[in-house]
Amino acid sequence: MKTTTLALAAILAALFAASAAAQDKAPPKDLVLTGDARCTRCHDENDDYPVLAIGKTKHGTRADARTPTCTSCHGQSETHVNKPANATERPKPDRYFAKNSKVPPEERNQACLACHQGGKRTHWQMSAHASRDVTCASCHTVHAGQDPVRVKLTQPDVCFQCHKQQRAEIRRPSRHPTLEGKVVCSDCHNPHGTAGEKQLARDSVNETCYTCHMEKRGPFVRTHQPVQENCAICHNPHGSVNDNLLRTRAPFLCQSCHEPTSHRGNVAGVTGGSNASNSSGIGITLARACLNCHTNIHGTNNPKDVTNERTFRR
Amino acid sequence: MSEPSGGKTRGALRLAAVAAALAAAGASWADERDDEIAKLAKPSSEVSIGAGSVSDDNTRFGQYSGMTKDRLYMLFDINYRSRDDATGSWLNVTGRNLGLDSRELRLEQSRQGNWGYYVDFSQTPRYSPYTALTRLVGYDSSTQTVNGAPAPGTPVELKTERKTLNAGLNKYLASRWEVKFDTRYEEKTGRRLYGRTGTDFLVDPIDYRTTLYEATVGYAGDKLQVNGGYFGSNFVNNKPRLDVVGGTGAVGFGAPFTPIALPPGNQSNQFNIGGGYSLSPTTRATFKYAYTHQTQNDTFIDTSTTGRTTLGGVVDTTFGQVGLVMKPTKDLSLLADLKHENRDDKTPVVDYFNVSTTTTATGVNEPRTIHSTLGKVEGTYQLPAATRLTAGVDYDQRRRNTSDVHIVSYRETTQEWTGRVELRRAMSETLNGSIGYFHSRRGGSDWQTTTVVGGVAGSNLLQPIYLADRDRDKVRLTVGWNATEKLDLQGRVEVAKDEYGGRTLGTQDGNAQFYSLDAAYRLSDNWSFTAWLSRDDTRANLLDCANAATSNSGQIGACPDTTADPIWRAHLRNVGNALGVGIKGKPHGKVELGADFQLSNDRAEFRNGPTPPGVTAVPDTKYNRSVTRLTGRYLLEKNSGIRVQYVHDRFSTNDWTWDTWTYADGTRILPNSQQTVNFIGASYYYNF
Repeated sequence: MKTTTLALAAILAALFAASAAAQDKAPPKDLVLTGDARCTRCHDENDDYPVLAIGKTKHGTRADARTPTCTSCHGQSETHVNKPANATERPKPDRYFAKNSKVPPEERNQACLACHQGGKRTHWQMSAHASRDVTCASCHTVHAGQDPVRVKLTQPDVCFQCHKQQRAEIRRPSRHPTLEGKVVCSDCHNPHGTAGEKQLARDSVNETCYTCHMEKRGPFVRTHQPVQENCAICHNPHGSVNDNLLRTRAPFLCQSCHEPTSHRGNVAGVTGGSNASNSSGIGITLARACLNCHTNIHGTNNPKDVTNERTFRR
Repeated sequence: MSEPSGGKTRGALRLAAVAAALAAAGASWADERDDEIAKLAKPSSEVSIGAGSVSDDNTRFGQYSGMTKDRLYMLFDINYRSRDDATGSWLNVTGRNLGLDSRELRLEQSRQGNWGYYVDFSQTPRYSPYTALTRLVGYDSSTQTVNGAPAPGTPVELKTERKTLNAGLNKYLASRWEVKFDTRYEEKTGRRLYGRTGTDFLVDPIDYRTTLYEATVGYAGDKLQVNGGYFGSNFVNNKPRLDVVGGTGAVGFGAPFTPIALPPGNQSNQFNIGGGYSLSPTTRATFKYAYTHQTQNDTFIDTSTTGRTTLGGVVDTTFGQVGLVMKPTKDLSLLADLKHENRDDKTPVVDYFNVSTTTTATGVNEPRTIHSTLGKVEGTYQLPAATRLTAGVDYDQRRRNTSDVHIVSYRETTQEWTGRVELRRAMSETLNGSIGYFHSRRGGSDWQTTTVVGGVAGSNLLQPIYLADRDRDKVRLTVGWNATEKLDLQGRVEVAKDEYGGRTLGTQDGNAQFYSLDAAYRLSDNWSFTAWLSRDDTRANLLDCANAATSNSGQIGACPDTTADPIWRAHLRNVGNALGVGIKGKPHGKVELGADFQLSNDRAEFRNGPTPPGVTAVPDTKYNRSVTRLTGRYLLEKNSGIRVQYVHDRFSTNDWTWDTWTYADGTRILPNSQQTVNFIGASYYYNF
C-alpha cells in the first residue's frame, strides 16, 4: 500500500512538474497591452521598473484602437530584448525615458508627439520647455495608475522640481491656494507651449488673470494704465509677503511710478501725520496705505467727479 | 514501531491530497497569476472617511481649506475609477475634501476615443488673515451705515468664497477630428476689506457671477494640427454700487463719497484658430490668430453730466503668432517666433468730469490702447560630450496711446532686447547642468513732457519702473548630480543686476540672488529622505523727493530738499529663506510612515530716509511659518486600512500694518499675528 501510494504521488508530482515546464516553454502571452509579451516576459511589478500599472490608465485601454504597445514608445529594442552574445551588459531599449537617458530629448518626445501633437500640444516645439531639453517624461509618469502631474494636489510638486523660486514664493503669506490644489500651475500656464507669452493659458498675462478676476477687466471711466497693460507690473502671482500679492508694499510701489508732486513723494513712516492725512507718515503707510483713499485702484466706472474722486477714490 | 492500519490509510490519503493539491495548483497557477495581473493593471478605486480636529481658531492654517475653527471636521474623499474593458468606457467619480468648505466633486464618463463628458463642482473659501472689529452695519449689502451699531462693535470675518460649476463634453467625429465644449459658471461672494477717503472702514460686498464658454474643433493629422473655436465670457456684478450712510467721508472732505462704484460687468467674444504643420520630420511651423470683441455697458451708478448712462466701453483685440523651428543639420536647431497683439480700446472719449482747466486732468476718460510685439530667434548646437550650446535674441516692444494731459512720466514705446547664451549638458548619467548668461537692454521712445491743462509743463522727474530704461545682466547656473545610485543632488544659482535710467527719480538700481539645493537619498528599499533649501534676496533702491513743485520741468531743484520735505531714498529688500525636510518609509509590511517639516522665513526691509521730523522710518517686517506633518498608514486588511495625520502649523509676524491703526469710524483691524494650530485626523480607507 505504501509503495502504491508513493508511486501515485510520484506520478502526480511528475505531472505537475511537466505541466509547469510546459507552461514555462509556452510562448509568453500579453498581460496588459497588445503585443506587450515581448517586454512583460521580463518586466513586471517585481522589476526595478514596474510597468503593469499602465493598464490602469488610458494607455491601457485596449478597446481604443489608438492605444499603443510598449514598442510604440520604446522602439523594437532588438538588442535589449535579445542581448548580443558579445555584450557584457544588456543594451538599453531604443528609447528609454529615465532622466539620465542618452536618447536625445527630441527623439524621446517624438514618441509621445506621434499621437499627442494636437490640441494643447500643438505649439510644443516652440515652447521654452522644448528649448531647454525638457521631455514629456520629465513631468509625466506614464506607468503610474495616476500621473502625479495630472492630479491638482500633487502637480505643484512636479513643477517645483525645476521651478525652485516659485516653490519658495508660494509659501509666502500672500499666495494663491496652490498648495491646497485649488489653483495650480496648469490653471494659468500651459506647459506644453502656447502661442502667447510665458506659456500662459491665454494669449496674454491679463487675459489669463481675467479668467478668474474678471472684475478687473473694465474698461472703466477711469482706467489705470499699468493695470490695463500687465497685472504683473504690480503683482507677483507666485506669492509675496505683501497683501494682495503686491510686489512691493504701498506707498513704495506707487512711488515707483508716480511723480513726487503734491503728496505723492511724501515719506512713509509709522509715526507722524494722521490717519486721514496724505502728508508724510502714517496716512500713506499704515492700513492700506495709498489705497486708504484710492480704493478703486484697478479703475472706477463712476462718471462723477465732485472732488477729485476720479483718482480712483469713488 | 509499526503504524496502525488506520494510520496507513490516513498517510496515503494525506499524500494523495498533497499530490492532488499540487495538481490543482498547477492548473490554477495561471488563473491566479491572471487575477494578480488584472488587479495590478485595472483601474482601482478608493474611498476614505474619517474626522479631524483643529485645535484653535485661525485664519492662516485653514485659509483655503476652510478649517478655521476649533472644532471637528469630516474628512471624506472618494476616487472611483471604472473601465469596461470590452468597450473602453470609463466612469470616474472624484471627490476631495467633501466634508470641508473646499470640497470638489467631479463626474466623468467617456468612451475612450469616441465621446466624453464631465461635470465638476468646486468650492474655494478664502479667509482674510485679518478680522475687523467694527460698528459698520449692513456690511453684506449695498447700503452700509458707518457706526450704525453700538460701541465697541462686533468682529466681522472677512471671507470670500467661490463656487464653481464646470461642465464639458467632447466627441471624436472621425479618428482625427474632435469637437469640444466647455463651460464654467462661478459665483464669488463674500466680504473684502475696503474703505474710502476720510478713512472710514467699509466692506466690499462681493457678489460676482462669471461665466466662460469655450467651443473648439480640432484636427490632428500626421503633419497638420489645427484648433479653431470660440471663447466667450460674461461677468455680472450683482452689487455694482455701494451707498454709504454717515461717516467722515460724508462731511469732512467736501464730497459725499457716496455712492461708490464697484466693478461693472463686462462681456467678450473671441474667435480663434491656431495650429502647426510639420513640413518635415525636423521642420515645423506654428501659428495662431485670435480676435476678441469686448464690451462694458453697465448702467452708471450715478448721474453723468454728459447725459450718458453707460460708458459704451469697447475693446477689440487681435492676436497673431507665427513660428518656425527647424533642424538644418544633425547638430543644429533653429527657432524663430513672432507674436503681435493689438489691444485697441475703442471706448468713446467723452468729457465726463468737466474739471477746471487749472487742474491736472481734462475730465475725459482715457481709453488704453496697447500694441505688443514679442519675437525671438534662437539656435542650438550639439557639441561633444552630450553638451549643447544655445544662443538667442529676444525682442519685446510695447506701444501705448497717449492722453492729452498726464501727470505720470510716460513714453509711448518701450523696446527691450535680450541676448542670451547657455551651455547645457542634459544626457549624462551622472552630471548634468547648465550655465547661462543673459543681458537685456530696455529703452524706448522719448519721454513725453508731462503737462497740466493749458500746456504748462508738469513734473518730469520720475521714471516709472515699467517704462524706465533698464540694463539687466543675469547669470544662471544649474547642476544635477547623481552622486551615487542612492543620492541625487540638485543645485541652482541665479544672480541678476538691474540699472535703471531715463530720468532723475524712481528706482535707480536693483539686484537679485537666488540659491537652492535639493537632495534626495534612498536609505534603503523601504526608506527615502529628501531635503531642500533655498534663499532669495531681492533689492531695489528707490530715490524720491517730497512735495516737488508741480511744474518743475524735470529739474531736481524743484524738490524742496528740506528737513520737512527731503529728497529721500528707500533701500527695499526682500530676503526669503525656505527649507523642507522629509522622510518616508515602510518599516513593516502593514505600516507606512512619513514625516515632513517645512519652514519659510521672510524679511522685508525698507530702510527709508531721511524722514521729516516726527516721522519714524518704516521698520522691517518678518514673517515666519513652519509646518510639521506626520503621516501614517496601517493596513488592516489587504484592501483597507487606517490613515492618520498630525499637523503642527505655526505662523508669526511683526508686521506693523494694522497694529496702531484706527479708522476714523473707530474700526480696528485685528492682524492675528501669532497663530499656532494643531490638527489631528484619522480616516478609514477601502480600496476596490
